[in-house]
Amino acid sequence: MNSSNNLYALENPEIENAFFFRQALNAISTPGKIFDLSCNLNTPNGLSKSAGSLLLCLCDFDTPIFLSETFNTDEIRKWITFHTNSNFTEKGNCKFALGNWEELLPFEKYQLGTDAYPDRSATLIINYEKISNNGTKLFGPGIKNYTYFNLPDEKKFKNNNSLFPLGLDFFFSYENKFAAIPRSTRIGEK
Amino acid sequence: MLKSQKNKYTKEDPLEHDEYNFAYLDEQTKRMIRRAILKAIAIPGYQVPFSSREMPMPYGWGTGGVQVTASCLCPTDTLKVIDQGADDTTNAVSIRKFFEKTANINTTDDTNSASIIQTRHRIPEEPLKEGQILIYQVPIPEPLRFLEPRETETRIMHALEEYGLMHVKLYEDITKHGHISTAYAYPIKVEERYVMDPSPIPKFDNPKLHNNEALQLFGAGREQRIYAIPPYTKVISLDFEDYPFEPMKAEAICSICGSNSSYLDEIIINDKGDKSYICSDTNYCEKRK
Amino acid sequence: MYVAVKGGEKAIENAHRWLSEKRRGNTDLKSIELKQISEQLFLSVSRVMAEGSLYDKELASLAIKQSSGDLIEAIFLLRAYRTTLPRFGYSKGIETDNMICSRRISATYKDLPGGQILGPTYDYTHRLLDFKLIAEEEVHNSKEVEIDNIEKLSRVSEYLNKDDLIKRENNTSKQPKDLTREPLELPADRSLRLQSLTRSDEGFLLGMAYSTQRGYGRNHPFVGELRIGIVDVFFEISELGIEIEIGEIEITECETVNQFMGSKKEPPQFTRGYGLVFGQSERKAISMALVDRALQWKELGEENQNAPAQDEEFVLYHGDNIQATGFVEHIKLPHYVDFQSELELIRKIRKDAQKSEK
Repeated sequence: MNSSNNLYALENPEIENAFFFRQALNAISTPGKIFDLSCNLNTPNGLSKSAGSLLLCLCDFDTPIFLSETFNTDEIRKWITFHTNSNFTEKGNCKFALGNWEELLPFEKYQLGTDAYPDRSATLIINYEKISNNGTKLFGPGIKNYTYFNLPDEKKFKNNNSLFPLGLDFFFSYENKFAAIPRSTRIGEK
Repeated sequence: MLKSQKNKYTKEDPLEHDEYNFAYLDEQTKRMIRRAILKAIAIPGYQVPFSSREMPMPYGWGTGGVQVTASCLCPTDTLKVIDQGADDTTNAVSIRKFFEKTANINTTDDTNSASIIQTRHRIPEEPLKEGQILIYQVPIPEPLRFLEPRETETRIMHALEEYGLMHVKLYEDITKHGHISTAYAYPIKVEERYVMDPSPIPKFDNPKLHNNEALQLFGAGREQRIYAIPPYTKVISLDFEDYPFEPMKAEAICSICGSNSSYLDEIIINDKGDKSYICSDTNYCEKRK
Repeated sequence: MYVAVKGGEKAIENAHRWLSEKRRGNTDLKSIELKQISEQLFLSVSRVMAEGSLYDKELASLAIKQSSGDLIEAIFLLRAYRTTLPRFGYSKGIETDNMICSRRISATYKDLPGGQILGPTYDYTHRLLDFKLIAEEEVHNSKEVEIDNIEKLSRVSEYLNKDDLIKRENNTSKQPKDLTREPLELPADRSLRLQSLTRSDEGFLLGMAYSTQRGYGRNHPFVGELRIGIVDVFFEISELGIEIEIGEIEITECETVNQFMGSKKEPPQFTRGYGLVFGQSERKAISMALVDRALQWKELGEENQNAPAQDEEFVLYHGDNIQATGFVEHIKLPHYVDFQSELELIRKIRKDAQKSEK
């Protein structure tokens, strides 16, 4: 166990979190674009740097987190609690969810927002090895003309977009890499 | 010891010497605002409620914009602040100073070299680029507010996409005056879903909202709302087939730089009331001189 | 060429220098001390703490000094400071039953256990300017006053409760929402309304309360009890499983007893209005209770009279003086651009009109 080292992940959290958030902001405003997070962030085993950075700059005790089975380890829970003071919960109550693709399904389990408050919906952070710009054609807000992204299941994202303005928002993360697909992104041909 | 507690009895300028957190806001507040910003971008044109904080400047003077800027700023940013298009109007100066002190960042007048631009009532003349963020100060974020004062009602209207009232109002204007009588804060529709208030920019600026390369964020502090237009987003100004939207400016040229395409301020130059016109965007004018 | 907007930076600096000179006033006179403010202008301090939502007499005094006695400006300074403070958690609810009262009166019972305690009040003074106070050194003729009734005083509403004559308010144990952490959402429950009211502008609430008495949403109030005194504040440290006292605060509490003839939802009985504010402020506590009662019309199944004080959205959105003063005063900021666009529009419409007349 080297969690004691892991606990002190940041030297200057207010500055590092500002950079982390800026990357997240850039990602969600340019859907499908892949970002590289180059920084010294110590995360526990199994938690990618990019996913860790998102949790640090966005989560606190107001944002219950769902951890899928693979991620629901002592080490990860401790790290998250220490840095963010977040609580853990089920899919249906979470503001953020973290896990592998299959473990996070189905989308219907999460809060999708309401007609009056579509913002009250969950954000899923998907641990996804195959992040790449080959694959499904994407267009919509934030995308100049169109782009491509290797979505794990085109249909599910298409369906999520059809709920707009309700729906889930997604980050894909692996090691240093991450990308975002908000609910506004349209999937496939125009 | 927490930074914000230290300043209780220091005699120096309380905003200097590390007494406050980076960019003033505490981390918890920033996270709350950051979450709201991300949702705002995911739902273009929808007003996300957030629990705005008291800032060291009055509500109505840009607290929403300041909170959004504070939550987005990085130490490597170069910040430009304009009010009425100008870098040296009093409120712009005051906000720029605030961030120079609390975030120790570089500031500029140059639209092109700014990474973040906070604005009140104008979009710069020079086209913005990818990666830039334009942050608007918003007094009344609800475009339907002047038709329906109740938040409980307007929220339902947005939820049901029930915007008939707005069209009726605009059409009444035309029948009464021959024109739509809204000259600034002209309502727009974002991505064919939400009707949005673009803040009190002159309608001359409305076409720049559409398909802009920069990310546009809107902060209303007193009214506790944040909303966004991502880059490359479809924005149309509400109009009618027989009365298409028309941007408008003074039919004159700038008496400093000679521009005939930029938005002009009218100034009175003597007691007889003679008029002259100058660019409202001071940086644009400066560069053309 | 004349361009008025230039040189903003320098002008601001000069304005600030001038202000600080003006604040200090004649330097032949001693600078006013914070202690003098907190001791001698304690009612101002109370108001600033109450509407600033921060209980700190010293900081409130500083804010009053810094704002040259403009209390709304002082409230603003305190709020802006408060918002930067890290939040460790929420204290336990205070127990006003255990209040050590310096004043406690009831308008509904001539005498009651514990008695009427008048305490330090302006109520029965004649409002005549006291020219003795002009003298530099005034004569201090009263002995140190001590609070001698430290025993617990029973609550007037409890007597009515025992007879089942007043609507019971149950302790829901639900964590109340916090306006300073979450944006206001309507309809608001009573605890959220009360939080909003206790931060509201005293003058605004006073006007609202007054309007209910003049017939805009009448609710037939009696001051069941008004008490001012000291209560302890406790904080639970959940990690250690203990509760510690972190200090004491002075508060004013008002409970009104309101006639109620019954509705489809509730039998005829008395109902309550509640006011609670930091420091000593009877006017505010009573006003708050009246407005609180007016806002309960829906829960009680009363008739909506469309009175301003019954209108939750109207009251809660317009009572905050920091929001109000900022927005009202912001119209003195430059609006050249917007004005210019209106100028152009009016010119255009007039031109078109003239054309069509010809």
